[in-house]
Amino acid sequence: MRFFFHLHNDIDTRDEEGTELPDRDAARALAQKEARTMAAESVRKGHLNLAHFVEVTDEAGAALFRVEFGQVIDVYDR
Amino acid sequence: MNHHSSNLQPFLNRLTSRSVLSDRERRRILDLPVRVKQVRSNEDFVTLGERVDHACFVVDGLVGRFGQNAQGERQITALHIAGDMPDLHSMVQPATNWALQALTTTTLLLVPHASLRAAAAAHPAIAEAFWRDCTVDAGILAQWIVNVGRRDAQSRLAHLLCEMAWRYEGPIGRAPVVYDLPMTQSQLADATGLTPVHVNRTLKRLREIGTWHHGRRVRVEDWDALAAIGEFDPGYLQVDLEPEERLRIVN
Repeated sequence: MRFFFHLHNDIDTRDEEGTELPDRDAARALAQKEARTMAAESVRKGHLNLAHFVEVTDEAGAALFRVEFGQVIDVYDR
Repeated sequence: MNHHSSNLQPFLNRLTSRSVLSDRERRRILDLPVRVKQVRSNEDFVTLGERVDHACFVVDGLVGRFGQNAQGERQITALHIAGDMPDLHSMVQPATNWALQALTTTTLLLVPHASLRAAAAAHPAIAEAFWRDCTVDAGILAQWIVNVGRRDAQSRLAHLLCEMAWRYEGPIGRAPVVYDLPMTQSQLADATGLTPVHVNRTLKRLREIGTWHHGRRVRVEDWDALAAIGEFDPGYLQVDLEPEERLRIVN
């Protein structure tokens, strides 16, 4: 199955190529990894918006789920 | 044996673009025996840990050398295009600690190590030319390490797109450049130590400075802007040596 990973942070980036994965769980795992990677990239530049997210769609373009940065990062302030 | 003497002309051209060979030595390269092999996209034609008895010359297509971690995640450590011999060094180190994958449909000529070794033994200048070619590959690898270690995502991709432009097209001036780079975003991610989403995001930013990677094609409208972001200096590629810069150290 092919899944598409669209990034919504300071600009929206649509995935037109997609990634072949065995199932939805694999797509969720990859979306989490991508969200953490992009959040980390933001932190490197000195900012982070926990509401930014990766949205996953199927081949028909239907939205399956979204992973917000804040859902996959534990933030502590002490 | 002289099965396919003209097929290795591009290999000879590559060697003599950097090294000086006599007519006899040139003939010896062209007379190397070869076997044609077609590989499909995504096919590993040399696997990790394999022991090989031949080197591969790329006639057309695109080849990635890669290593991988314990989870099987791949890092592409070199790209090889038509005219390259990705594993020339295997003639002296036949046990691989790397693997070769066709990134698109690829045609190879397999050249037996025994023949390469015999040519090098008979003609020290051929051995020197082989060695010199391997040092260029090592120079490219060193640049790639700087790329993944010390450049941000935008610079990394810009550097890679500049490098491949020079390798495919030769010296680039200031005019717009278009070339085929049959790589997916996933493969670009594997070559730059990024993730596919990050590559996609970064390619979108590069569009703002006039560089597109779409489908299998790269279009660079503002070469200077891309080269500046990629901190690209093509000297390490040695693709534009003047005849007097080509070397022959042995007699």
